[in-house]
Amino acid sequence: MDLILYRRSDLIHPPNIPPQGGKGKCIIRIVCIIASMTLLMLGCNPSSRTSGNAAEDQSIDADSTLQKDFWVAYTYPERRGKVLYEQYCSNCHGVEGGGDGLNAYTLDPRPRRLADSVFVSVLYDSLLSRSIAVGGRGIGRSVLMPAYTHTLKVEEISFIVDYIRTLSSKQP
Amino acid sequence: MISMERLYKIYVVTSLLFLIVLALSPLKHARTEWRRYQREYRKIQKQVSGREDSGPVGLQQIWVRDLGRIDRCITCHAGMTNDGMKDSPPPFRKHSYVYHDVEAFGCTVCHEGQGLATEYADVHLPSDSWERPVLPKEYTESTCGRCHVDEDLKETPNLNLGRKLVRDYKCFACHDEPGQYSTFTPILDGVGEKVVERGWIAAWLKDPKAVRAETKMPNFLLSDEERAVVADFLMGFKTFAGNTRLESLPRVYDVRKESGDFIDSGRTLFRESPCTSCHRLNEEGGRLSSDLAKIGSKATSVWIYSFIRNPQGLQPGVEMPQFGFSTEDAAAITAYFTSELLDWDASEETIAPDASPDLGERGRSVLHKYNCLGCHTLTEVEVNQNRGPEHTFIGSKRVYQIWYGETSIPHTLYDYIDSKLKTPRIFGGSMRMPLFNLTDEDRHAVTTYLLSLRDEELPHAWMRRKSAFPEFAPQGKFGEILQKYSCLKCHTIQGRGETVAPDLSLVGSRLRRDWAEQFLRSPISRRPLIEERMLKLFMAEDDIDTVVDYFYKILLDDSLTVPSGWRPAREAEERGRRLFWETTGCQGCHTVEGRGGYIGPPLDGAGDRLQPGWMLHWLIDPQKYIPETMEPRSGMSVEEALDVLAYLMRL
Repeated sequence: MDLILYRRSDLIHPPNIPPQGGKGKCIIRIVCIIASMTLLMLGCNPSSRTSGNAAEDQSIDADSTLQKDFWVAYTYPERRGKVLYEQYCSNCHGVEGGGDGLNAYTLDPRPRRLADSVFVSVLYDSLLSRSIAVGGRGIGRSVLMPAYTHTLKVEEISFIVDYIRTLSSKQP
Repeated sequence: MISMERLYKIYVVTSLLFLIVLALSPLKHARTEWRRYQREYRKIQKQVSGREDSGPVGLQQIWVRDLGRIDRCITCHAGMTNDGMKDSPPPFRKHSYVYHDVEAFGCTVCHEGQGLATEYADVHLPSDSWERPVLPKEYTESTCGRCHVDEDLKETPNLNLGRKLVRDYKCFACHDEPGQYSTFTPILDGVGEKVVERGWIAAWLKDPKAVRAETKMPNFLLSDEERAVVADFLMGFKTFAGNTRLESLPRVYDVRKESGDFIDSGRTLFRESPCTSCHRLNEEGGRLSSDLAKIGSKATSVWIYSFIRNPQGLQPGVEMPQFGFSTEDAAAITAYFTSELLDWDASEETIAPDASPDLGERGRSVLHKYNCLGCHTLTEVEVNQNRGPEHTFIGSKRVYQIWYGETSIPHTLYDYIDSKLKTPRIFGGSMRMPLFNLTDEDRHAVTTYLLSLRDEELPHAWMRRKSAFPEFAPQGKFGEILQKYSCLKCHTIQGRGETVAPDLSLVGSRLRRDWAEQFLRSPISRRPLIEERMLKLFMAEDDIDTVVDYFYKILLDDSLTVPSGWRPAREAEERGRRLFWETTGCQGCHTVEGRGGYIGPPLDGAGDRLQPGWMLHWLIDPQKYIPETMEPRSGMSVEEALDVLAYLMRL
């Protein structure tokens, strides 16, 4: 049923209303309106802005160079480990792990090159953290490496191990 | 007219269609993003541990009652507390080890963001209705500062750096910052007598960092006209604070200032005092004071001579100590400066002098506009303060209060602060804030610190304020001596001072008295790696007596003693020697008999320098006395420590 508004003037001069198509057309029009409403409801989804990008934004690019943003290149444990490494380890093992710290040339045997990826890759995490904790004497090597178990907490040692892994994997 | 039957049919059809449409709404509800993450988490859980959470997929939340926060982050970040997920991909990865319990604190108190939302964009990204999105990683430490007010924690290096930079760059000169600061800025009284010519001031104002790279003075981006006005205005100030007069150069200077020997003796005195403990010269030297490479082109020879002889007279409050140079020594150093430490690359740019009659008025107006007297002191000039917006609660600033101007930076508080520090004048408004040219790391640190300054009420049990101990402020003769020789510019005593030199709080129990006296008379620092060494101050004898008395009567710790009745024996020495060299490997850092490492002080003569009680307690637990020391705690027992002590006492 179409609703047609009549104005007084129309009654005197009736408007040119096109002939209606009958009851079938009426139903089709209603169905079309409801179908379009349905599609609109389905389409209007406010979360469709960036739903797919969540994982991408949060993922850490493992190949990022050090020139790239420091905050993206290193995870939280690696950042904490960097601070600790530079305070306790870099004087002998070098700031970039090259075994060339300020103190290194006075030591015999020389400190290990932690940037050497071949050497570090065969050391599993528990061995690295044990070396730091009990020192060289505890793993049967030079006494020049001190034992840090009474100085550093367990999680601090794990941060340092995480950072040492980056020394051999991230290229400057 | 349509018949009733038709009407009924139409009604049935449209109702059915409507119900179908209504049924779509729970379908939409069932296809939300977070349900996808929850299902994926269960899959990973099954992979990792073979079991998975039972029950239907649902919203997870942490309710922090004290703060009234509900955080639904763990709906998507479901593996937050699951130990097996340390290596899973984000967002399922376990939270990195932090001191605070994730389930007790929730997430948004540290990371910000909208905790109650469940769509990614609503939680993480800024929008018109939520102005505190999740903090970028470089600023995360700012929320630590909400509870740990004024604490320099080991776990927040960026926040600590930001706090230090705000103090060093003197933001409080224009902005209100919390806390009290008192640092020295050169006093401008008598600058007309100090500076060689106005061109130096003009070049300095153009770009301070170009003249002296480590200066803290920012670049005010003055126009040429303003520079001319300020240079000429300042050159008119020729009287010093407190009416101190410049000491005229001795005859020996005028006679010998060109002679190579005299200049060489000046250079030797400079190197041996050692002035490079604090001052820099061509990339070597300490960082406590200014670079002197071009000092001869800046200051007149009379001023240099008078300043070396009497720093506190010309610049009251300066941190340079009072050296006891004779007139001839000071003249030699002056000759060295004025003949060799000149600026060979000084630009030839000249600015037209300003000779207008209202120079005073215009000078004062420029000084007022840029609030120069917020940092510098100029006693003869009356200029009102012209401060900037206060920073006391800048971390709570609302986004609607910020005018972003014509820029296109994102509308968040941290982006505003960061851009303001990087390019202060792009936002328009009053163009007064200078350009600091900080590195990215420093700038992020300052932003982190400023974001932590908030105006909010957190529950009392959550706040951690440093207890306010009364600051160490000795009175009387000892206080005067500390002031005169600027001891606390390098040393710390009972929490006050700087950490460049050893902490003197327990020096009476640490060093032997005769060694300490000898050291004050003629300091020979044997630590190999340091740049900043003890100065040869030529202290007066009664000053030395007062200081040593104070050390050995007051700065003591009675617990630092060896067990009564212990005596060093031959066997103990032998055991100690083996412990030192073969068990603990102390020679890795300490030098003994010419062999060993360079990190700690050489231990030859340790028995003459250190007291046995100190050495014993230090060996047992170094971190108790110097928490940030590099010496690892060896975990040796008291007996072993006594043996090592016996060995050290014999060295």
